Amino acid sequence: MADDDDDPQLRSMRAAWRSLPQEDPPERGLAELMAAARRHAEAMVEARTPWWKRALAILRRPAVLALASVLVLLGGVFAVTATHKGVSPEPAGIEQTEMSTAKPQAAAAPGTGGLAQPADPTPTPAAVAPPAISTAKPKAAPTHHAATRALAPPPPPPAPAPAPVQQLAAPAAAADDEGDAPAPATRGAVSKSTSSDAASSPRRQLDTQLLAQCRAAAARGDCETAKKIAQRIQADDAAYYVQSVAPDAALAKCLSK
Amino acid sequence: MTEQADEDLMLAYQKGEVRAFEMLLSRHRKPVFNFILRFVGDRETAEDLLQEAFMRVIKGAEAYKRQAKFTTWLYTIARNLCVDQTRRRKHRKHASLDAPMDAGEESGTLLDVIPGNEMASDRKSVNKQLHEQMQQAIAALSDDQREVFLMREFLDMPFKQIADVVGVPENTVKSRMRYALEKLRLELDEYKDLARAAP
Repeated sequence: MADDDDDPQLRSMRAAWRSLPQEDPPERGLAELMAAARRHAEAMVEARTPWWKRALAILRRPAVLALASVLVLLGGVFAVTATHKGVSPEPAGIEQTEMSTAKPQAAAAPGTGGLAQPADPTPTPAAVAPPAISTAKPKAAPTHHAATRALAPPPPPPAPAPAPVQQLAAPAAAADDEGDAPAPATRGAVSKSTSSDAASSPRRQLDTQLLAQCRAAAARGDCETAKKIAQRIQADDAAYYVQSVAPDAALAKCLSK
Repeated sequence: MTEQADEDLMLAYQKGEVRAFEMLLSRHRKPVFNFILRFVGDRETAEDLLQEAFMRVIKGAEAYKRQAKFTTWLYTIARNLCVDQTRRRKHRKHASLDAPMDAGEESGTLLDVIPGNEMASDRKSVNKQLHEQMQQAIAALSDDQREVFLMREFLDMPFKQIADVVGVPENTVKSRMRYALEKLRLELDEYKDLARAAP
């Protein structure tokens, strides 16, 4: 054997070298070793952790939570602002409509008798909406939003003034429950006329609108309403009546009934 | 944790228990240091290599598998560092007769330990003389023989494990051990009386 345990000389030598003193290792470097061991232990634990657990741990950190909260708040503010921007044109349009129609209403009130509603300088959107609903078919009663959208077609810089027309039409619709004329069509006509006469005076605008309304009523066979509107046009502006209403054959046929 | 096997401690360290590594360090730091010191014969170098050896243990901890005996792995690292170091040193300079054998203040030169005529007057000086002669004889072994001798005699490693550390067949290890013992016997022959007198 390599050890030769039976050799007495070897045994004595072995006893000698085994009695050699063991030296102590230095303390220097020990702290560095432990620090490295700690760092590496953390890295090993991290490497063993599944990615989703690591992601979850990252998300749970306060800084990330704070950032997420800020993002949610900013997102909310953005969403609210965007919604507000999307909705705001409608009330603005209505307000503009009301503002532009308030004066003619006041002016028309004495002449038209019961047709015009009492002038309200600052009517609320609710005050405008009901007549629009009343002119529509009962089956397809438009919602408030639909009505306001129809009242305020997209970008209305010079706001149309359909309110008085609707207010005028409202009693007629009440008198004739059939109410076949689709309100949007009437309003569309009003919108077209107003857009073409945007540069003319408010009086002329109103007359044009009334004329359009009158034609629409005549077209749907509502001659009663057409007559009332024609009377109002005549009372407001006799010259315009002679120029625009009287020569209209279709209107004349209806008004003569 | 104090009674846990090295391998279990290593696995615990892999799971992030730094205390397990601390335990391994306290168990093996001293024997590894003495192994390195006797291998390279220079305290300062031995300190650096000890640090490097445990750094490599830390870095390689993730790849450690339980199939391998921890001490085999640890001494393989230490031995490779020692071999690299002695190779570098051999390239740098050749040993001279009056060069110190190690960095310690108490270490002598080769000239100092050449037997003189005077006899040690007391047991302490006998022991000192014997130890010095012993260290010189071990240092005089070839690297292959010295590493086998150190692992066998100072670390009580089985031949099989030494073969695993060194990376040679077991019979080669036994052969190297035999040659190492023969050489030491010749070197220390004239000190056998001192050896018998030593405690």
